[in-house]
Amino acid sequence: MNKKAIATPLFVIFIIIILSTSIFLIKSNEKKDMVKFSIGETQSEIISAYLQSEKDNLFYEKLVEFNEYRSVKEFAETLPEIDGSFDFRGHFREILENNLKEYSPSITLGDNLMINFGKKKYYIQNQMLKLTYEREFIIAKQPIIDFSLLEGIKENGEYRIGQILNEDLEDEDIYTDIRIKYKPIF
Amino acid sequence: MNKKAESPITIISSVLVLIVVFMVYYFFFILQGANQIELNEQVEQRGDIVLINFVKLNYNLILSSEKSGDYSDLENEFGKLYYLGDCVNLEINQEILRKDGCMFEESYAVRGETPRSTNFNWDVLADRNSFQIQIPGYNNQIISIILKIKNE
Repeated sequence: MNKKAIATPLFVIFIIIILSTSIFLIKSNEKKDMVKFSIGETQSEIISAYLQSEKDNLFYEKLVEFNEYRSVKEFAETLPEIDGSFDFRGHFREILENNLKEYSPSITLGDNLMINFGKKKYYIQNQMLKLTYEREFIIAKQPIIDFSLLEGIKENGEYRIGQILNEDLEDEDIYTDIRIKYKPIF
Repeated sequence: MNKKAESPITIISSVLVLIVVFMVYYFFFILQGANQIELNEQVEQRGDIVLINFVKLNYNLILSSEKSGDYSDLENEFGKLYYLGDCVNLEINQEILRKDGCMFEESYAVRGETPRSTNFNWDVLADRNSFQIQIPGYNNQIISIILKIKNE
């Protein structure tokens, strides 16, 4: 039998199989690649999650600010008769903590008046990405009240505690009457 | 070369050319390149950034307007956001501020209408974006603010 007569049809069949396989692979890969890929989509979602956390941060900042105003007013109104060992900072911290816990009991307040709202997770999920962005919210504020000035007070009298925004969002000076317990020397 | 020998060579060479063409297509266009790339013309975060800044700058005005129910001053401030789009609404605790009196209509399906028909509602083709932020009031009450932008 002529060798070419066998080899040529076999070669053609072989090539047809290869071409069919190639077409199949190309088509199946095409489907995979036809998934919409949008430039900047991933980055856009990451930024979106970050901006969401910024909104939450603004919420907590303002929450602390208003609760501080309320606490300063309450501090001035509830100051007891004091003696030399009275802890002004501790008294204010207690009032501020109580006010903040009205919003959420999970809020913790450090000795240095750093307010911790805990961690919050933001989920980013699409066809190409699965990501979790976690942010801890700690708000540190310089207290309105100058505690070192209060510690130095040695006489009874009315003292300016500080300036706050009141409920009508107007500036208001807060004063308190400080009464000092005098211990008899003899 | 005789004609008998030419025929298989022609078949083989043409088939090889086909294979080369397929391989080039496969490697260069399928494996190494993305088929469909979309460019996002609209950066969605713009609304978020504008909303955060607007709220930061006008925080006290928002609270006092919400308390008094008089939004005229806030509406003046809000009118400065003219660059956001043709139709912009700001919703504060269900009170809606509108720039140039524009009504923000909700999106609905085209329902077979085509742009050629005379009664086609072009509003359905508008892009709509909505951005929300929540802020605390003086007594820890929560105020919800939604910025809605419609671009024709």
